[in-house]
Amino acid sequence: MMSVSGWIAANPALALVLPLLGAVAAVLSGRRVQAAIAAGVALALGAAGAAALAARTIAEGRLEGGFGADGAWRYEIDAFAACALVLVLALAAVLAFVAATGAATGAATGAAKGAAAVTPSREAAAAEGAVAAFEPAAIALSAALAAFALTTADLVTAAAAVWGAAVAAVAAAAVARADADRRVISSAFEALVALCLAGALAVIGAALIAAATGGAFWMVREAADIRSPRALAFGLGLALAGFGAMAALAPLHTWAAPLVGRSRVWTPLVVVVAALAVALRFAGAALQTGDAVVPWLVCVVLATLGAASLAAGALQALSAREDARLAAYVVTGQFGLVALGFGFGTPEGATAAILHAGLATLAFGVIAAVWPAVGRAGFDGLGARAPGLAAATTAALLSLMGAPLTAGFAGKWLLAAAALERGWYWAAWLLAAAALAGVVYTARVLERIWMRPSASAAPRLAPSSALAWAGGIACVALGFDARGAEAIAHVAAQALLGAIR
Amino acid sequence: MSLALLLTIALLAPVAQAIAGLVRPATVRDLATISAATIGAVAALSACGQYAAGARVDLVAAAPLADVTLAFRAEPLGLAMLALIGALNALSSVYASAYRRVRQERPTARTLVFSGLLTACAGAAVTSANLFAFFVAYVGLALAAFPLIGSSGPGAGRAARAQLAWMLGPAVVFLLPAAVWTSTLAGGATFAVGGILPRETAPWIVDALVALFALGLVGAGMMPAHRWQIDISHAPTPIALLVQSIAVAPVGAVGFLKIAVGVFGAPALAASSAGKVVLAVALVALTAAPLLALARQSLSERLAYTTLAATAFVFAAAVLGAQSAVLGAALQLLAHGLAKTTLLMAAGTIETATGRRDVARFGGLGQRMPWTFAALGIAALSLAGLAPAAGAWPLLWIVSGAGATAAAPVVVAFAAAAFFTFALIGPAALRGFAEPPEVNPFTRPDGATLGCIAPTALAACATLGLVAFVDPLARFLITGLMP
Amino acid sequence: MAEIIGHAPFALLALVVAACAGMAIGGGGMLRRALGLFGLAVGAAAFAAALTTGAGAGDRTALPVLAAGATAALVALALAIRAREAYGATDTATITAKDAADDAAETAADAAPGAASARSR
Repeated sequence: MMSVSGWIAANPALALVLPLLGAVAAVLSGRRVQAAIAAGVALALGAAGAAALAARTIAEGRLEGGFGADGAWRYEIDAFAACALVLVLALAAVLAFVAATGAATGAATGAAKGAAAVTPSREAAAAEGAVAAFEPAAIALSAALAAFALTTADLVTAAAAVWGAAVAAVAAAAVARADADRRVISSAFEALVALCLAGALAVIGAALIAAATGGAFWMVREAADIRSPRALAFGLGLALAGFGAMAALAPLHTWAAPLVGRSRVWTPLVVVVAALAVALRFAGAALQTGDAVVPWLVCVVLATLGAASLAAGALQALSAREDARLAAYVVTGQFGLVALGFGFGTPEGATAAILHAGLATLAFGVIAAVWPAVGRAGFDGLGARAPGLAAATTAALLSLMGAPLTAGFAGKWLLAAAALERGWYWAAWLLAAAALAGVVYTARVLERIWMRPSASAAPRLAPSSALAWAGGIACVALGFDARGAEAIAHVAAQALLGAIR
Repeated sequence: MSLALLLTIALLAPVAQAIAGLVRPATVRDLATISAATIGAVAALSACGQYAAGARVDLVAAAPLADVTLAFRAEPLGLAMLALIGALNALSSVYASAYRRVRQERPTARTLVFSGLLTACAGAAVTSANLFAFFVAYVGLALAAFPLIGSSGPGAGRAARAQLAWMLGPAVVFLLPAAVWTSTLAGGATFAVGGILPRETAPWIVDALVALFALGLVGAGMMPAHRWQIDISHAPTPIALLVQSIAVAPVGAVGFLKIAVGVFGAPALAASSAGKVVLAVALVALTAAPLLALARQSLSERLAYTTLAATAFVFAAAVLGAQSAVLGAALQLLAHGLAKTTLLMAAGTIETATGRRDVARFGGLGQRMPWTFAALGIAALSLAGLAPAAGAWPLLWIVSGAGATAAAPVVVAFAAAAFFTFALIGPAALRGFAEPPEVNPFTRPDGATLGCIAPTALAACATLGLVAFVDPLARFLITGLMP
Repeated sequence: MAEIIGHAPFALLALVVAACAGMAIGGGGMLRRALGLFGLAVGAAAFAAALTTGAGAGDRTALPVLAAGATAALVALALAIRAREAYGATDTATITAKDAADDAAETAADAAPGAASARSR
């Protein structure tokens, strides 16, 4: 493992190649469990390598280079991109391991569904063969494209790669349970259309930015480099709207809840995190331009998307009647907070936003890893049928709520402090109100986990269970000391914002 | 033993007490809980002694962020309150064990565990070194009180939900943002005598912070968020003790006092407009609570209202700004804790032995239950702030402090509150001795047991004895309250 | 701004992209909507190529866009074929109506006494 990490730190392209190899291995293996494990191992190795890469960027600063004919495909990896890469690949690894147990859950629910099930007899076939291997392969492909988006130096390619990652994630979600519930097909189709529109917006926006800055947007450090500030502002607006939609930010988040709610898989989360990270790279570069209008516009767009997501996520989570949809709304609310924090336009806000994004992704990763045990019965009685997993879920939920002495608290405290320091009192108030809503819906879910009888038998232990426990422990441990994570977030924010203030 | 070790033991003893609640059989369990509580009390008292001898310590249990730590500090007000909580907890655990035996009730493990956790959170809150630690302890208090109150009797579920909503909601929406804001303005949230807010803080920000902190703590027993306290006034005595005199209500008051002294600095708080609003609300609550209680016949309900008045007393004294008023507030917390514990135990003993709750039906009981009624009388004197008892001194200090800030309504309100409080509780003791005895008032053949009477009498002795220690106590407390 | 996107081909491209987006959002059947997605991909790729040619990237940026968009259109096509199997139709109105019926059946099953799920809220 160590040597692989060092190898990737020296050759960043391997962070992309490993997930792609995972996808190929998954397709070749042909059986669900083997495919999932092949993809999961490849992604985990990629994540370990990305961690080494992150350590290198934190120590040495930005890595740049190119390969292909006369270095035409350029990469540019700073500490932020490397940290985002770790999160995306680790999350994808968890999802790949979860996909190993996905079949059992799908089969059980398909039999229970009756009317809505299309062809239950196909499930036996679906558990094996090419279709079964497709889900882990699509997850690995999605992660590989997300990794490509995070590391490429070319803006349009980055947007196109996020778009591709989104398509792969939707395809994976559609395959996971389309046999058990036909509504997955229509939800996936609608999500696909929404994500394609978002992808087209992001691509056109990125192309406009490239045109307005001579194609060197990542490197723009002076207002003088900008050929047309208005074209740059317009392009940024389009790109941020597009990435915002792919990151499930309100009001463009409506694709997520039906897709996650019906397919009951978390694959779109990879895209959400990647799109948000790429959006923050765009925004970070824009904030450094020193132009009069562009940074202001970026802050307004991000703060608006973030505040809308925070409010909509909280309200919709309060009224959600189903676990997976609730989770999707919580995703919107939590990542809205990230956009809002970045929208403050200050280094403190960016540090807080990045820290919060990382800690929220950790908590979502735990819930995604627990998901096979949640099953169709939902969270009801999880504490009775799988106490260990229920404890991990509780830690993750409390962390998302921002409870003190869990990981999520640090991010929320810093976000509120950054809002107050910036003088955006309304944002701090919105945060407090959303936190109260979080207390209410988290309490409801905890009551269902611990106070209700279990509706189904104890779940099989899956490889993902160990990941859930480890993540739950991390959620608590980081609640007691998140200073290391804060320091990393600070370096990432510096990499993103450069010399601001 | 070092101060750090003593403080750790005092803070963790209630957790051990909570774990002991799971032990079987009942006798071993009761012995274990009483021992744990006693160890905690002894450790807290020794910690006070160590502090007086010059030892200082900060305990850091966790550090989520560089300037956000879960830290506990040995400082006079916190240590005095920790000792009070420990001592009352020890008395209360003896009383609770006897009370349940006499009434042939089998406590659920949940009750015992959450009682211990509630006490632990109260200890953590009073010794908290900064706003973050206080917030964590206060939220823990709210969460631990919920199952206790919910299981305290038929129909208590609604009161428990109200308690949780009133404590947790304002804590998240007001207290936490106020803590973050303070931390942003002052570059940290560690309490320091004289206040930590920079002098150049805009007045409107100070006003907003005062309002946020006051609103954040309103749920612990300040009017007008008091409904749930009255609704559970007939809860079993051990739970009433925790809510009214050991953990919940006193912590709200101590928290406000700590914030007044350690965040704003008492004079700055008194000078703010929001401080004046808090003073007005507290004075209204101070006089209204005993007045409202006059309409109630049951002693427990009357006591619940006087708890509200005591919280309002501390809030009002904290915003008066004068040093003597702040000192008075601190002493009042100690005197009230002892007196209220005595009264609640006496009320519980009377009800257990005779089945009577209404003051009107106490006639002649004093001659059958002389110890209990003597304790009731002593505590009533102290609660009303009458001369020989310890409760008189805080009142005197506060009135002199109010005089210094030239506020006649303040003096009138405190005097009226004292008068009404005596009118509420005094007759209960007087009737007991003055009216002729009944032939056999006991519903149980032998009345109350020693286990019930001894802690009551001990608490009454402490209430009476406190007067001898007022001077050293004031000298102990003053270093932690004044710059 | 004008010097970058002020001339006719961009206006025409924007129109094409908008028309394809409209078709993808509300174009009746799933097959036609998939075709709209394909048009969207081509339009976006053309946009990217035209805008970045001046910046020295040109066709290199168009290829990934085309690949992503075309894959999306293919996935949409596959979903349309699955929808024809599962619903017996590919038009949005029919599918929406059948989804609503499934939702209602699920709610009824959850509400029935002894249902596997205890989601009583």
